Amino acid sequence: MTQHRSALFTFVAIASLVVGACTSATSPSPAASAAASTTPSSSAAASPSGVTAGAGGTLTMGLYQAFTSFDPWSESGTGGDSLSMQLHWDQLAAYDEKGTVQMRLADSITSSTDAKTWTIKLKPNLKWSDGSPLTSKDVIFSWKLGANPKQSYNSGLWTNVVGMTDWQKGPDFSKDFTGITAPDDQTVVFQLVNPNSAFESTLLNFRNFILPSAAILAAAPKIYTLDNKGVWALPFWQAPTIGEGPYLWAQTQTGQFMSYKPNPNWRGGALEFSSVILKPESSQAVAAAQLQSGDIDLAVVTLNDIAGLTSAGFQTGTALAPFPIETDFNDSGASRFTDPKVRQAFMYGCDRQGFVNSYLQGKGQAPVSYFFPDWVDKSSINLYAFDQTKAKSLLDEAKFDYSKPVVWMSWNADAKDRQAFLQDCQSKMKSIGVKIQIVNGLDVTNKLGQAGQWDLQTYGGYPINDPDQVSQFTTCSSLGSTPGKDNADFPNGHLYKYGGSNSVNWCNKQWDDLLAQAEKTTDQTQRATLYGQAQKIWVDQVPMMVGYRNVTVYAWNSKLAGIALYGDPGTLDLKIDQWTKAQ
Amino acid sequence: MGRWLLRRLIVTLITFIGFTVIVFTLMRLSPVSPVDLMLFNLRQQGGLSAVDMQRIHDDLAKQLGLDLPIPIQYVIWLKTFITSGSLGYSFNTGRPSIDMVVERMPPTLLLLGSALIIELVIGIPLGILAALRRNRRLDYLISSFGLSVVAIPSFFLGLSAIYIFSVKLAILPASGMFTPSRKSFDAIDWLRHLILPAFVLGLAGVGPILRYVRTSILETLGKEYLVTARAKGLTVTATVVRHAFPNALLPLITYVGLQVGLLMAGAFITESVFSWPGMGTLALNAIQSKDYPVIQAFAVIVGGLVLLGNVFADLAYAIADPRIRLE
Repeated sequence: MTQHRSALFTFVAIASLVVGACTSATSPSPAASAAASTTPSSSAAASPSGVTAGAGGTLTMGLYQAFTSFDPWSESGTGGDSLSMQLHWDQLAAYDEKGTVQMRLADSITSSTDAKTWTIKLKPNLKWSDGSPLTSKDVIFSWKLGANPKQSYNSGLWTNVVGMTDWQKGPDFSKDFTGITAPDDQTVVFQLVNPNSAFESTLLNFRNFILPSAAILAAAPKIYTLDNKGVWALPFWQAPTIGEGPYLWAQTQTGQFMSYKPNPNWRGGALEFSSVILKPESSQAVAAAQLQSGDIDLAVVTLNDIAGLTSAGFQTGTALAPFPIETDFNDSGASRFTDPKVRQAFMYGCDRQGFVNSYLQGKGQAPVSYFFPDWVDKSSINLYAFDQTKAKSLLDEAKFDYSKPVVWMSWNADAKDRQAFLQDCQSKMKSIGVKIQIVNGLDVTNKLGQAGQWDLQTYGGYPINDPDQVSQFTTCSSLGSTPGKDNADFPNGHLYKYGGSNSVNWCNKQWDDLLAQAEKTTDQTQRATLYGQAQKIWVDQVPMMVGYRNVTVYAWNSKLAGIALYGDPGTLDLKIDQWTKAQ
Repeated sequence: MGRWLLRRLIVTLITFIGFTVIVFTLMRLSPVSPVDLMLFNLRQQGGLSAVDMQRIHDDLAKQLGLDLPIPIQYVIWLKTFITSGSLGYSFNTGRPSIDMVVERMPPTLLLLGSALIIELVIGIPLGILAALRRNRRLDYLISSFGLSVVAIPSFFLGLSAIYIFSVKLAILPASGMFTPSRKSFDAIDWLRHLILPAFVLGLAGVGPILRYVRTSILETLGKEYLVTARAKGLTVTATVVRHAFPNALLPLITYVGLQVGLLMAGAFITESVFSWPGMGTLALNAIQSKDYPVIQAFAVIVGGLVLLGNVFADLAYAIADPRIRLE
């Protein structure tokens, strides 16, 4: 009898588990339902204005990183957030897949000849999805959130705007700016303290989405008084009621998918898809499988998937990553890397182009500096072709201490390409007598992961659209100020001063002067000349090893067409209004 | 019985607190804090001066409470948990971490429950068969099958299942819990989505269960009362079904209690392969982004469930078998 009771108990326990789970999954309580599945209020779908959703049916895209929020200024900033926000929100302008500026909400962005006044003209008759007009007031409102130091971590971008330093002291963040004004409903003017010919690239920061002032103020009347945590927690960012992007958020099924419907007031006219679905993908291998099963139409995959997917009838394509895989040489006083000859030796000693040709199947790039734009002449610069003899002689000239291993930190050991690159360099440098110890920066068991205890560190670098952006992490003024403590592994103390964006501790006055001059001129020819000179300093001094630019690989259902491939997968849907899908 | 239960619960509570201390401390021993990760993301966007970076670093550490010594951080966390039931707010979404974990519980419980049923429904009969055909071809075949499903990594098994059933045969969906375009709840659609992940997760547990049952039945079959039963003319089937099987099931109760934790570990991978919207996927994302509050909430809830599962298993065992003295 007792045995039967035990069996019965086990059965009842399991059955309860399943039934309980089924019940919860299928008919949740109102509270649970609100948390697990969010849908907009009915007013959001109101007021169609003659724009008809196209015949492309449903588009399902793989979401390569999780979604967290529609708040453009939250610090999470995942790729999932970018893809979602680009569907729902829109920007004044953005870089297209070729790196050229594409006007979006703005009709024009122009500079005065002294590069101190920047005028933005909005396109005429812009509307929010509910039919209300999108005006310069919305632009100013968006900047009030983005420039508020209590709410946005990127508030420092705007310190060159007239009056901004005072405005950012608060406490009233609702008051108008003096340096950002709206003379009429379609015009916004930025006045700068110092001339900045590259200010447009700052305006195009990918987070500068234009937000609906009336809807947000209605949902959160005290938004100006909140700190970033308070803003972040606003329910509006999980369920925005209106938007101006091509597809509007419609539903979130937590952990499963997010769905979007066409914006009836989309500025670009008719849209192809009746709905867009974003589905999270845990890995590229899973994404490739789901693509083949028909669960998704488009996904980020790997180079190794190309052959199989192509033969299975899928379209594939690659795009160059906007940022390089960068290696910092620690240029602090006690380092062996203060001598530029050592840094040059590593450029010669690591076969960057060979790595691109083999590991990246020739689809990546091995630049020597951050001066990516084509208008900076690269015809006469040293490309640091692989040359072990030269590397060895440079190290000998610099009296390099071969006895100690070089600690090379990788901050993303899961990124197989980076690990392969480091191992390739390790093996090549070993053959000329340099011992390299590769360390996973996130390894909890290895104390070398702590800041400052490295000779070289590798991570995903900066996306550079304008060479002016290089100044953000290489000038003397961006050096850190907090020295590290003494450490047994490094008797001279931590090599790295933290707190600065100049993580290599490289400081060159001539470089700083050239970048400052280039920032002041609007003459593009002169800018190209000045950046050309700065590029020579970089190539000679090698403050960082710009190792290679990876590629992002996409695969999609062959029925899809018109897809512009972006190196940053978080930007892929920027031109989704131009995509089509045959039925 | 009451005193035993009280003692057992006290031990469970101490274990639980010790467990939270370990989880809390281990996460914070990582040399890269969430602040570092956030700064790397911000740095990548560019445009921040050295002063800004320093300010952000300090502000973030303060806001997240990471500027305090770990023991103080733990005491604050425990106090908040006890006094308000809050396990903190997600670093990534700003939402209460407990809400984020709890809303993912139903899919996970559904998956675990289904996987457990699959384990038992497949494992028990195979275990009995293997015992009855001891050292014969069928026994070897079943044992090999049990070892194979344990040995194959779930990630590989999951992808293979997708390839066979979703890509090649196109009879089952590859991901999610239901089809996004469905208009209302559709039980068939929902079951179709459940089949692959439940089988992949469940199969991994079939091996241990069938070995458990096989050994247990063999042990029971050797007992004198069963030899007597056979000598009195009872058929093999009757001997096994009426006498050996119920007794052999007893150790399974303990195993099933422990299995909750093992299945949860397996769910990390299975949920992630099949994009199943459960706690495993959430925890995996939280670990990757160092979202401490969510990891802690996950650990507290799952750890608590596993510990309680063990208490219930002990209790069930004690009820089922009077030979076990509780006092």
